[in-house]
Amino acid sequence: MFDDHSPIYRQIAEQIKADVLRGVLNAEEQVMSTNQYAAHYRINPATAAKAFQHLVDEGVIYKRRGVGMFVSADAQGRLRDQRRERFFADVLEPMVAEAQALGIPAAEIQTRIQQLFDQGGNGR
Amino acid sequence: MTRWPILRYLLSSHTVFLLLVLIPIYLFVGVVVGAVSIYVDIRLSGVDVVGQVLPWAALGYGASTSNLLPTMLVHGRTRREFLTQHPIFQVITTGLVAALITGCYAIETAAYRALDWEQKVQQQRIYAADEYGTIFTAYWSMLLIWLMVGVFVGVAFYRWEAGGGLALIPAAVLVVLSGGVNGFFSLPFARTDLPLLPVTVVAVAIAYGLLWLSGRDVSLRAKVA
Amino acid sequence: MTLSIRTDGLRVCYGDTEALGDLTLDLPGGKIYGLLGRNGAGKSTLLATLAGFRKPTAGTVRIGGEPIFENLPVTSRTCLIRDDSGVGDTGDNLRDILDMAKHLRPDWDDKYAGELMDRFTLPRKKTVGQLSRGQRSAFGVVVGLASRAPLTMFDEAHLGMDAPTRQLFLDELLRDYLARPRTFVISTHLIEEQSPIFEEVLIIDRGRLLVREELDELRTRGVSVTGPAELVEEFVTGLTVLSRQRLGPTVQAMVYGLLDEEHRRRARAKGLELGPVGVQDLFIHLTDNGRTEAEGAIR
Repeated sequence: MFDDHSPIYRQIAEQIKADVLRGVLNAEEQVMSTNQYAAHYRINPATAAKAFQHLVDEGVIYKRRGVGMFVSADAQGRLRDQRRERFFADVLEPMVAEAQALGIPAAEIQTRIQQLFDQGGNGR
Repeated sequence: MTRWPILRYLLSSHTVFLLLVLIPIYLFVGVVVGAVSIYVDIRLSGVDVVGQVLPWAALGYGASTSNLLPTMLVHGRTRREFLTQHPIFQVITTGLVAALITGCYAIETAAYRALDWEQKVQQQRIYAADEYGTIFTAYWSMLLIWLMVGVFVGVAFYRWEAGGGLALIPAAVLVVLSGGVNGFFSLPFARTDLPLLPVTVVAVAIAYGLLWLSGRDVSLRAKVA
Repeated sequence: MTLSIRTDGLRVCYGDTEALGDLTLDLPGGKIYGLLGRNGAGKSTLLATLAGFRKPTAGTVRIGGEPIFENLPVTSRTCLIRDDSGVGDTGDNLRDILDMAKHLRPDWDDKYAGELMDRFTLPRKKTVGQLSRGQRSAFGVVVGLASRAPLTMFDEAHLGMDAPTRQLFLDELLRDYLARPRTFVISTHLIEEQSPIFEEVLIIDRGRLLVREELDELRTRGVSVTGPAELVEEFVTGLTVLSRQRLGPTVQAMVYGLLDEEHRRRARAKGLELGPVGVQDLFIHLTDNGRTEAEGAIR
């Protein structure tokens, strides 16, 4: 379930963010409690709580007293903006660097990208 | 939680178990005596013959019961509790067993009289087959001393492993010295003229002191067999 | 209710051999602690001493602020299940042992014990001696969990269990911990499998505390640095290097400690590859390092 290399709380937070981004978790939907999460994934509840605190701090989820945790109304939009900002630095720049190292010309890449966009319609 | 948990546990399981083992043994003795009487005239107390093995049985049971000490610690009890409650269990249980055996002598006396058999006891005994008070005291004395010595030897072996063998020296001295007095383990040189009760009390007290010294801060072994 | 653990200058010797030396620990109650160490590192001795099974040669052990040795109010609320469990005689049947525990344990939950017996499918009428190794371990787990002792410790309680039973053990432990918090200390060699349930990890090596760290922190503590030998050597100067592996002109060094942004930038600038190190690898190298150091010192 979790890899042995990076902090579990970060992996949990990333998973939940991915779920929000893909619309698996919708705005105002309740997320599992820390205890449910801990029992389900066999992890320490303090670790799960840390992940949830992290998400609260980032505004992805919020607490309703005595009820539980819910996905923030603007969570998906906010995460999408964040990812967009990082897209060029995290995805495109390394790709270009790799292409240059392999000697793949820019035009070939552009053509291929256009093909992929046409096949997949409007992305995923 | 209840008070005296170790004692309660021992009385509800071990004491009941021991009595349930002894009763069939004495019933079996009755059957054997009946069978033998077909061929020869009965001139010996069958119940008294069993008395020959009882000291060794008490010693063996005592030594084996020393495994209970680590078990009690695993269940969160202390050595001090064990070393106070187990001896109380010993006093009560040996008393009950002695009473049971005394009853067997009485039943045997009645049966032998009806059949006109002779109820002779072993030569070193300090009682005749119908002196029930002395029978009871002698058995109680013997069982308690051998049992206490057995527990001491068991705990000493648990604590010092092979070094526990040294415990056999005081153990032998105790049973030999008291054997002459209660009539169960009498060697030719043994004093038989000493008073039974004081000697018993002293022997039990010494055995208990040795048990206390062996067990009061014993470490649990790294691996329990 | 939970119990804290505190040791000061704890030393335990077996004759001339020192099993634990000057161990000082301060563990708040209510957490799940993982105790790691190689064979013979002193894990079992530490646990036995914490449970009052053994008197320290020097130093003190306090559980919930009270001395543990021969102190009934504390021993009766502390439970240590060892790999051979020792919860009863090999000739006793399981039902009788549970009955005995009910007499002896103030916080014992008989109903819960029954549920656990069913979940682990243990035969109540069999004796301890008739059980398989894994069943015996599972029975130890039942007794430990049902004791509901505010301090419950398991010393390699998983030995001989098959994988599904080990999962069941972790599930039951977590479930009960969530419902009724208590302090757990669990010693194990199954680091990858069991470490996610720990909040903090203690690593002891040759009788001494090597590491005490939150599990998630420990996961960020190891970094592997790979690249040309000279550059790697230059980069790791001043850092704690746990191991070096040479593959032709390339060296992979395992570094212990957090790398700051400055270090990371320098690594990128030099074209060095940084990678994470798993807890298990970190453990292997941390404890192995101690050993080589010791050998060096002896020579």
